Amino acid sequence: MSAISEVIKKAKKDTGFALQLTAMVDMFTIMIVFLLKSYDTSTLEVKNVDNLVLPASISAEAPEEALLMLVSQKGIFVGDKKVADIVDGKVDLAFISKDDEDYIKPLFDELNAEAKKIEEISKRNPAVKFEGQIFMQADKALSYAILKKVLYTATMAGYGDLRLATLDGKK
Amino acid sequence: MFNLKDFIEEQSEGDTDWEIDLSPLLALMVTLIPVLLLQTSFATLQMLETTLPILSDSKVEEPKDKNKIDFNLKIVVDKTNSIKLMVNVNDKVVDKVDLKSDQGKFDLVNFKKELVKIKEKYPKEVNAKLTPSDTMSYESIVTFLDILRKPDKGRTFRFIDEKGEKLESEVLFPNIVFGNISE
Repeated sequence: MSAISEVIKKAKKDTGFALQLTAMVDMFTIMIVFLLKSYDTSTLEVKNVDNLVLPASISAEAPEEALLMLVSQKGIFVGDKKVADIVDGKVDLAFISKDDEDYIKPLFDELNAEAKKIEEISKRNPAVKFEGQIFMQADKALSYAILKKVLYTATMAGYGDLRLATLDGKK
Repeated sequence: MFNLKDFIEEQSEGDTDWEIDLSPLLALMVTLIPVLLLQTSFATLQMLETTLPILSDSKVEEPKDKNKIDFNLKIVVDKTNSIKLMVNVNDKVVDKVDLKSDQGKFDLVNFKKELVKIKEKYPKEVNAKLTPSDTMSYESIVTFLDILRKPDKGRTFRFIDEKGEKLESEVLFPNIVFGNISE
């Protein structure tokens, strides 16, 4: 028997006092129905990194799984790994190639490593193919100057199918 | 043999204080709610699909279809937030519109009107090239993508396809490419 049942029965025996649980059960039933309706099994979720705020869109579609790239006000992430810092609204110069001002070397290395991983898997499992899909979650206040560098590096690594994460603006 | 009807009658007649024991149900709910709370996403995530120009050393020449026009819609946003629309057909500029910014704000109302005009002239076309300025925010880019993809609700564009069938399109230019990524 559960601990809650034991406590209630003991209280009833000792004092003759019985808790009225009906209202609470009603409330919990409504909560469970609401939570089940909002239940999501997708692995794509809004990451809470550096107070990242996504823009809202009225024409967006249901998201599909792809390699996750995050661009917040403070850094660039591939999956959960931080690959470059953003300082004062600009990519830290230490991460930018000296020969090409749009090329972020650590980001390229990480994206390239992910692409190679998929290619290795596809050798053993032909159903898996590298299709260059990338799902970008970026802060709505970021300037295109930063995003251009990120997207340029992504194209260099062979990621041409860009999916921009947005919130549902139709509601 | 146990009879449920007799049991309920016996219970309700003999003991008027009879109650359902809700505590196991409550215990189950107290366990279920935290599990569901952890799995629930309160913000609905969506996606906008675009393509990026892949860099290549070799130039691939596509075979040209004589019946098909080579349509090119370019949207350039400059640092003053002015919007320039250029329509090229078979490598010739056929339409050019310059929408000056209104006190630093994008003239989105006229931008939408101009896109609808272009779509009415070329209802089959779906491609557009967007070249944002470096100072443009990501939120503004998403607004532009929204406007470029969908016209006002209920607006459709009619055209006749190659087979002579009458078709209706409910989209403006959904195939959007960022123009200045590799420049």
